Amino acid sequence: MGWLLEPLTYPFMLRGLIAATLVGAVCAVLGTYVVLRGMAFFGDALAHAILPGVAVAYLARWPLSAGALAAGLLAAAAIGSLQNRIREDTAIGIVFSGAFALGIVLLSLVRTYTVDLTHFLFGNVLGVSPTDLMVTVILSGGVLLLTAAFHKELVLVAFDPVLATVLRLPTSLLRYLLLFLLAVTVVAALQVVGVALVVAMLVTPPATAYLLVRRVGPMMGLAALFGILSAVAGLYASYYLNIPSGPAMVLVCTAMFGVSLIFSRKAGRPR
Amino acid sequence: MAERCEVLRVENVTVAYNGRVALRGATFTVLGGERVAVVGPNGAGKSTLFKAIVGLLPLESGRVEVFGCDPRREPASVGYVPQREDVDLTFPVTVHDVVMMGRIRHIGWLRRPSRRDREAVRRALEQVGLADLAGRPLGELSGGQVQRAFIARALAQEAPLLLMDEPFAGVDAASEEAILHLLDRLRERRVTVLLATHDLQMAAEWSDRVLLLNGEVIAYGPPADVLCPDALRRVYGGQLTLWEHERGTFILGDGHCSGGRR
Repeated sequence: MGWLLEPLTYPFMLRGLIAATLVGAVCAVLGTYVVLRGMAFFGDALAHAILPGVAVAYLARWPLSAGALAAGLLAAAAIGSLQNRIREDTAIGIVFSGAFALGIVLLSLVRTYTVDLTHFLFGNVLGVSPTDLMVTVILSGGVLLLTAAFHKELVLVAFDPVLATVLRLPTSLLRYLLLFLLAVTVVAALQVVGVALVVAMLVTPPATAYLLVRRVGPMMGLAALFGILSAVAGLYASYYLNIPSGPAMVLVCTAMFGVSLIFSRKAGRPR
Repeated sequence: MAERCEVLRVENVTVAYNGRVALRGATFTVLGGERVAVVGPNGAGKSTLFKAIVGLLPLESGRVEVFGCDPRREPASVGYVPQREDVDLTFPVTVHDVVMMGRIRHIGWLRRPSRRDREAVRRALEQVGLADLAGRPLGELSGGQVQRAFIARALAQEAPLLLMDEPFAGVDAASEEAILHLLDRLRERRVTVLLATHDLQMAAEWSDRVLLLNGEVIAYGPPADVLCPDALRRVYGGQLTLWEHERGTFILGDGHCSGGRR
């Protein structure tokens, strides 16, 4: 047991563990909708598109999460409005790569460019300050609360937008709610796994759970469990093996998916 | 519910679909408890009419009223069973979950299903003969069973007006039997039903009134009046072979229909 507790004697490890657990759970919960609606590419794009917001906030010494959130919402709106003119995946590709490039250029203006860029790309869970942790707790808690409140409506819109329209649910409002929650989740996950790997935390645990259960509720619960397990396991692996924590978490996710792929007899697949 | 009150009023409704007018100036009213068969060749505007009534397609002009109200403001007043096209059968839901979705407006925002909602779901599943399969994943059902699950969902909505678009298309014999039986039960409960079908025989036997469409309302009235050789020839042209015999008119085939009731 000593090896489990020893790292936690360092306050930065304890903070990292709490942040990683929260992010693992929130990403998996939101990721369940992402998997069910086939929005993986969108999630990935959103994560990359927040980079310019982070860079501007960083340069101006504003809270990073505020800049990230603003950029995330702006990117979601831009993709949404472009959809009427060109195909959705093309719109995502254009906005995402353009914003990402802008973010890198902005960051290159900073002296410690490489170090900072690496942190934003791959996260720096061990550098979570008490303030960062508070922001993560508030963002994650908010996302989980809103998700719990509108879960049945979000599921209906994902499964059958036709019925949602017939029953006069505010379908576009719910769609924007999901994009908003996704943007907040990505921001919360930024420090833990970084923009380059957020999509793995969003998509892999729910996909693993999808292979094992047959209802949305259990899928979401199991996904959250997998998300937390991989975040914690990844953090310990990073501590003892001296490897970067974000990629370690993602690799645990991937391994879990591989195992459940072997044990699952389910034939279907999500779109 | 007063039996003979007006349930549905469609007034001068024009609907465009994919940039072309699919239904022009449709006007008709349906009374409480009536069974209306909506017939016409492919592309006649049957599905378009239903989608316009439930608000899936915007009206170019005209008005739709259900119980004198715009259905756009009355969330659960119209039950709609679409043609089985793009249901995502890989979505992780059970039959019970699907039917419960019809209750979402009864449950309300920020609430969980109550005992009443679960009861309504159970009854709806019994009515379509799927009570035993409530816990089954949707993806494990046959085509006809999926269709029945979606009908159960519309029933659970407890809407006094039900629109069913080709419910017999491509279903197995057991499901067809279950749906026909259900339609009789609905009549007893005075639920008003509009049913789009390719099957003129079924329309003639089952309905109180027939709405004959071909881009516009060609005729509307009792089956004996509407399904007369003249009107049918006008709509179906050469696609339909009519055989007039001393015992009546026999419809030998709607050459244009696919997957209709056999």
